[in-house]
Amino acid sequence: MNKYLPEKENILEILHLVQNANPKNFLSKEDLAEVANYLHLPYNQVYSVASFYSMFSLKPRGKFVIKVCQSPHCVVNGSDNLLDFLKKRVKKNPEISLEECQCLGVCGNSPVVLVNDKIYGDMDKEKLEKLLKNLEGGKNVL
Amino acid sequence: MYKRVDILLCFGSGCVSAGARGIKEELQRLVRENKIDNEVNIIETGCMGPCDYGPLMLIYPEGVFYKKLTPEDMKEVVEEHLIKGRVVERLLMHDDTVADRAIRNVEDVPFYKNQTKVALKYCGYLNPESLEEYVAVDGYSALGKVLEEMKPEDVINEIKISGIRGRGGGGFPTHLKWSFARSAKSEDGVKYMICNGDEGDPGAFMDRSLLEGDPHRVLEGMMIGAYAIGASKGYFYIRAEYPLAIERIKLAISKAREYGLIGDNILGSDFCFDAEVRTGAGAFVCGEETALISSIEGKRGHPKPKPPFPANKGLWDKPSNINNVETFANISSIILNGGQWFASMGTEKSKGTKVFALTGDVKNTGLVEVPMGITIGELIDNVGGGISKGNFKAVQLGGPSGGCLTKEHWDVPIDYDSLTAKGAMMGSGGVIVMNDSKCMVNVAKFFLEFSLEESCGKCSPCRVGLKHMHNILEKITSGQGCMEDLDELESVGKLIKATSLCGLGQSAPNPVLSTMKYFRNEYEAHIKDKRCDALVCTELLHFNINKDKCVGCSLCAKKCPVNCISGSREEKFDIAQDACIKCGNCHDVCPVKAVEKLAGKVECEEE
Amino acid sequence: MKSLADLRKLKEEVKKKMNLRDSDYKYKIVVGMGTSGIAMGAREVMKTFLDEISKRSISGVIVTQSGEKGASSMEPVVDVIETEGKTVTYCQMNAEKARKVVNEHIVNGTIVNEYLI
Repeated sequence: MNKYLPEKENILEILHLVQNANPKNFLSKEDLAEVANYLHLPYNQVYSVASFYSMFSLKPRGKFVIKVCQSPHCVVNGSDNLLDFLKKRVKKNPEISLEECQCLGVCGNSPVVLVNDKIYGDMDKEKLEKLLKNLEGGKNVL
Repeated sequence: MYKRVDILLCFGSGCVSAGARGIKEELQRLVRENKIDNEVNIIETGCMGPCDYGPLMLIYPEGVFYKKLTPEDMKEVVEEHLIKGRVVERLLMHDDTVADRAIRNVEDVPFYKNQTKVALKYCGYLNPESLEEYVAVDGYSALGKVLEEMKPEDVINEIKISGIRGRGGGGFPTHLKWSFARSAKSEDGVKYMICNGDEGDPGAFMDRSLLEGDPHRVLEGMMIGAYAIGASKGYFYIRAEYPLAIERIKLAISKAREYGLIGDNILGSDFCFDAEVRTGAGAFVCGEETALISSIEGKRGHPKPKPPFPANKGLWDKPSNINNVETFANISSIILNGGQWFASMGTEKSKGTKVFALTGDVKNTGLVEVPMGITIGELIDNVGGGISKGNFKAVQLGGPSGGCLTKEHWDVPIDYDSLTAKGAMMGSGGVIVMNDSKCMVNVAKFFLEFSLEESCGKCSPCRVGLKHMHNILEKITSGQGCMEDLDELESVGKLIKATSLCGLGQSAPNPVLSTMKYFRNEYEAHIKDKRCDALVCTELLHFNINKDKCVGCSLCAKKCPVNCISGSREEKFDIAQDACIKCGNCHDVCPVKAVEKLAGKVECEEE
Repeated sequence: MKSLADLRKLKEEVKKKMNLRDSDYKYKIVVGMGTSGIAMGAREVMKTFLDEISKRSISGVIVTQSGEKGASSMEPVVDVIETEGKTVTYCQMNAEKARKVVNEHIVNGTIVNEYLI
């Protein structure tokens, strides 16, 4: 956290850092309290910011968070089918969480999924299956 | 060592998502294995444009352009092209207008030929991580010129002559914005220059590509603007969904600092400037300038009523100026070539060029830059290469704040005012081309859903009104609508536009209102005839097995999740319509395409 | 970087390294790299050109390769193209000859007549 000065304007950067450092990929109450303490802010202010932005999760997640783009272009090219497929497929694995997201700006290669910070384009079920196998083995590669 | 080949690998997010990294690794390996690694440069560049042909590679000095590469192709590229000098024909682009003609030189690719590049000029040509390469193509000389021979007023005047308007969508004249910020009084002299890189419109990726592909150009534009308004601190606000853009702009800033192009007394002048990057966290509304300012200050991204305008009371209540990424990317060229040069392109009221993200049912999707005033038809046909399949139905411009235009608008020029007059919007530049397999009611619902989800909830017209409109659209697409609903949609939509606090709410009803205007018959078909002729709305279609085609293989019956298909090889198969959930499995699996997807509810058919 | 002059200096330096991309050249050396060319040592010739140009840090030269020219007995064949479009062709090249072509033709602008086709 001390990569950033304890100033309120750095709160988003700090929350990103803290969330990435949490093994469950989320902001726990303890995390928020620690950030509040560091920034000399009331807990509720930190909570208020963390709950506003969709990239912060207040619930525990897996090591890998798969985000499936649900913007028009990807949906038209079948991302809703991929989402259905994933919903069934990743249910059992606590290490992999599934989320929907809005446009990732890679529309020329839709449908697109984002796994943590890696974007995979031109996805279909076969490629997803391969990607999931790798994720299950702990590697974020295709 | 002198190198004989520059291999440019497109490392825009599109090509990276399609596997550019794997290609680079294999290429490097083979180049080493063939011992020519001291003869070739392998350079990562920003987006080259035609994203659906990715991963892309451009080899100089020949200017040969290879498309849709796989790691397996690299062996041939190295052994044939790099060693023997023989172009690998099968990896070239083809010109459809001449039968089977492979395009040997990048300059002959039709996708590029019909474009005019200003902001994107060196995107996909330079190594975006190299300040030196940017300097070699006149980078930072505009800043040098400004600092050496122009007063801030001269800069603003040159921008005024150029006629450039904000590229983020609103189209507000940039010179006016700058002169407001310049004349705003700040007690302690502090002013801020902010770059809005919170590009969130679905289908838009111009700003991402510019930040990734030519970050120094954006930074230089910001610095010139900062000099003009009298700011010495800049902020880039970039959405967290663009990790590569964030990395590249951070690198650009630190390189510029190393070279002394950022810091105190830049290039020996009195001008001092520093810049920082702020990352968003997934909130579309932060693209609105007052919300963006709240977010930089470390608060929830709520918009504020205007006035006061940011020019007077912006970031930390100091005079601030916010411009879009693409606006900044045009500034250095305007300074070097003169405002007149820029104003010679475009239309009377919309000058210069505009970058668009062209997607949907066109042959060439990707990033394009064309002069303002090009018609919708020219953009789709000449640059996009025409419709990829089916017939042209509509084009959506401006994302969730924009609207849909139709065939009758084929000759409408693309400029701020013509589009707004027709109920669409320049927006940030997303262009989604749609063929006749799209249901316009559903498309409108989709964009509304987006705005509804991204509404920050501060003001009630946007929070409650959009929900109400969405409910009505749900009703219509599920066959429960009545004609009064259309009047209701229109009046609520207009109310939201008139009374919302910020741009999000003020423009969110546009997709619905514009489709209601140009595709009213489609809405009426959904309501009166309970039909969705595009076969999209599941409640308004049914499946039927054509007994003349059915071969009785029973595959459909096996795949039906609710067991509503029965029959035998001799009798053929039948769907029990009352039990059918319209999942479409039978339609997808039928080997002889005997399962037909038909418009209208089944009750209508029987009547 | 402290002044505009520093910026201009950097620009000139880097521009030299990027001449491949804007095809801005004074001389373009094209080495024939067909199967027979390679068999007769065209790779060695190519390497010598690159090496010599680096050593003397000559700017404004592009070294590139082409496929078979159809003159097997003359291989390795090298074209030297000037900006104005004038082309001369050297044949039966080797490392030593390549060095001489750089020294006399590229540096001094004197065509090495004895190696011409």
